[in-house]
Amino acid sequence: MNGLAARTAAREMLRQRRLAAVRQAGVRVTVYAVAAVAALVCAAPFLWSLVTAFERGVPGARHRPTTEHVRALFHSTRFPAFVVNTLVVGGLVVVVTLALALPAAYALSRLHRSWGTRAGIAILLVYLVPPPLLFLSLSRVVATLGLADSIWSLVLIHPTVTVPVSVWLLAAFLRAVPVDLEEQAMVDGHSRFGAFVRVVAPLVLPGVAAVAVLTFTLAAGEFTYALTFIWSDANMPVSTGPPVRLGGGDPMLWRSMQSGAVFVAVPLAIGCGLFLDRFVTVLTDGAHRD
Amino acid sequence: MSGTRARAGDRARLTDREGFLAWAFLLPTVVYLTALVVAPFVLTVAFAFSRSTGDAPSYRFAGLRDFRTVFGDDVFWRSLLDTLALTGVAIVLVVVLGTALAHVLRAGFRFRRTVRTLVLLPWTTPVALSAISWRWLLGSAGVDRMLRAASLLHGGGSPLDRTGPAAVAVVAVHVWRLTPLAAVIVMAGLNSVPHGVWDAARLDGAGVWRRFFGVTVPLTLPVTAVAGVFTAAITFADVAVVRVLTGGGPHDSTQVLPTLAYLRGVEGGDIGAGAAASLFLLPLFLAGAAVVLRVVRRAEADR
Amino acid sequence: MRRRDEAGTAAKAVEARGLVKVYEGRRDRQVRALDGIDVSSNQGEYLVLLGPSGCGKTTLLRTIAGLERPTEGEVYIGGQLVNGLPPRIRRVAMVLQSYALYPHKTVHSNIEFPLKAENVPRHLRERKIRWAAELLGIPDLLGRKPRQLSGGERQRVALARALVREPAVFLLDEPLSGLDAKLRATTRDELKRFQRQIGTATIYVTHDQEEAMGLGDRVAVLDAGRLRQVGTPRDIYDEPADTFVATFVGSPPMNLVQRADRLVGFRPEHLLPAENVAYDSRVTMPLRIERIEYLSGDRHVYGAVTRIGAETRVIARLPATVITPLTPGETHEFAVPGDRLRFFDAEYGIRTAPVRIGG
Repeated sequence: MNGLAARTAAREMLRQRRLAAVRQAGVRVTVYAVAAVAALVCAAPFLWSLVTAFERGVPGARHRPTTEHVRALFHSTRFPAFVVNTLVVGGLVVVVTLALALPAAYALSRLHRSWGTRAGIAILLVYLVPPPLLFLSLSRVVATLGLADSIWSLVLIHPTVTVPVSVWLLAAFLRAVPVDLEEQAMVDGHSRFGAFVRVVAPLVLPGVAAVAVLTFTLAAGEFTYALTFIWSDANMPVSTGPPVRLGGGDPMLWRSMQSGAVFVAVPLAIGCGLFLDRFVTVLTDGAHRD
Repeated sequence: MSGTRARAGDRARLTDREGFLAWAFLLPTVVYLTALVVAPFVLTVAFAFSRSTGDAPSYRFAGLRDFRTVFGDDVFWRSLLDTLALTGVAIVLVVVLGTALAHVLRAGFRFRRTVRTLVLLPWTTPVALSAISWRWLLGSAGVDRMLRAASLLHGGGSPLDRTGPAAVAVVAVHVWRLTPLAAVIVMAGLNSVPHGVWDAARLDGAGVWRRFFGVTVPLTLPVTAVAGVFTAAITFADVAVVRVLTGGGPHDSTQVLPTLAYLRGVEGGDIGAGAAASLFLLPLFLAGAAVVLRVVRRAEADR
Repeated sequence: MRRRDEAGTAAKAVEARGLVKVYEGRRDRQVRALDGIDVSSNQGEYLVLLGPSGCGKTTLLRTIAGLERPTEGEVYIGGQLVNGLPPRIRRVAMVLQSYALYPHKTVHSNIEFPLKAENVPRHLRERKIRWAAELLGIPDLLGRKPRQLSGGERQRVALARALVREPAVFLLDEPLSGLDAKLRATTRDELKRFQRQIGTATIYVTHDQEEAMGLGDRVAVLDAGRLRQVGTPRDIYDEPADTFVATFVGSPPMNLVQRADRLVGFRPEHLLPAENVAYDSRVTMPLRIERIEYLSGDRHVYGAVTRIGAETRVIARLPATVITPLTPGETHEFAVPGDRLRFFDAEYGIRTAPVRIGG
């Protein structure tokens, strides 16, 4: 009788163990399946662009691949100019953004003032202000400043989008540097500013790099302001140049344009991918602390 | 160990004073954002009551003229509804898919780095270029054949030339683009849940679903709300997807408020009407701001 | 070693007068972290600030360092008022609980950091680094980064970095709390030896009474932002100023038995089986034994007494030399020498004059 009970129990254990194994396998399969589908869907339009960029003119027809569309992109279109414009605008926006956001983030994260939290929230809310509420006024501002149809208009205006995000993220990165280190530097003979330059700045540098990449990505992708402020081909960035100028033109250029999209998309994704874990970590810490 | 050693610069400098530093550090950002966000917003409100045009941009007060124009415009009502519907549908899909994606990306698997980079593509690529690629893909023979085989498309032309499919495409591209962003934010939220909580739930005998709805969802609700607000804010402010993918068509059926504001204010030259139309985005912004404030206040109360 | 200045004519190393620090909490709640502190440390003295967590001892240290601004009161270092001066000018060196080694710098650069901040010329810097490193026995570690060091090594580096500043006072904030128990004991000895060698005034914060009693020339006991008592470890132990000090210091703590409007206190080691206490002027009491613990040779006897006041649970600590057989459950006559009794006001806990207790 006892033996039977023990045998039943053993059989039950075996069943449970098998069930657990099946469930675990199921989870693994699901993870791989979802990851594969997600990667495929996310990359789908660019994969198609890549494939067709090397196709000859006639869709669907099987021919040997050709590089003529890619060559056309660089020789017969303004694409190189668009890229240069974006690099210049993006680089300058990064500089302006960091110059504004780094001190502001420091003030919010370290120099405790009674209005600190409120100021931080206000700056975050600025990020939520939809650009369509502003672009008509800003185009007047830009025109008044004599910056209409100039890439300098973008250098001036894009930080309205990038500064709030950067302040928020940099403040989180700064909070991750122990206050102890800074106080130690102050006891060791530095002013607060000196402590920031000597000790905090070097430690927060990776975070600054991450924010710089993000800022560049946001600046490169901005569409509304670029569309409103700039109308000459020579001054357009990649975010507006191809769709505005190439879209209506020669259907052959469509394939070139597709390869252009891939040229822009891949480096940006890789750049942001390098810093992905850093962003997730710092957002995590932010969630812990705030 | 001399008792009193005189040192150069033995006095408090301005850079030692926290109050001063805090102001000095924050001021440039505050001035900049006030000048180029707050002031232009006020200007937009002013423009909505003016008869300013592209050709004659100087300010002339016009009372409610612009709002009468806007209300008399069928496309405006369409755009308003489209904006609301687009934002609502996109938020729900983005949050659900983003949460799922976040869970998967946290799990360990091979090629994780590659998958993560690919998954970032939609969000890091300039929207307009993604929209071009989507337009190219949706207009391709392959997709055309697939849609027809599934009887999702009849008659001639690309799906983007037809009212229903075009709207679906706009929503789809928005969801495609913002899901990775939501996933990253939710991942951060998941990381901040102390691991012991899940372990405790497992030991308490809670299954996968019970753990998810009973533990994970409530604990990550604030961060999910933030993810929702941010993706919503990007969605209802976006010009690029509609403009590049459908051009607002067919027959203005996919116009949204931002594209309409651009159409009337910039291309049509009627700054007043454009500004008046764009002002209807304000309630959406305020709703988002309210959610953020609520989350922040909760978090502070918990601290 | 520097000679003590017994008369107190020379300036105190550090002096705090009437320090108050109020933090504005949430919803207008105020926290008085320091509530009127007067304390001073003499030249060359080892002063330990002892108290439970949250008593204000770290705040006091940080206020002396200049990391906190007092709401009221003055801080003098070497006889000079330093209120309003930033830390770098105060000639203090601090070792924080976390050691706060700069993670991006080598040990060498960490020690060099304060010297560079003061623009000390290079050859002098090198000489001082050598000197400090040798004093602390870490010349081999100079090329490493902090993350490659053990807890004890980190602590030495932090000390070396403090040392090269040649400060007027060392401020140490729980420097041993990050170490495991064994290392803590040996490091404690080293800290003491090190300070004797350097002869610089040191203020040391801890919540660990063993550290405090072992290290301090004088100990200042703090609770709830107030100074309870300052004195030599012996004073603190034998002559506690109030019931807080009496029960906070000593392990097990002082026994307190209420008798009318007084609390009668006696240390566990003074409560012994009656036959072990000299007959004259002793106070006896029957102890109902509940539990006996054997700890490194001593017997800790937990029980309840009634005779001298209300029934109270007390602890007796019997050294190994006391061999009286005791078993839980029985009642045995215990006694305390009369001069070992301490009396406190039952309401305020303050030390009062002795009262005669028959017995």
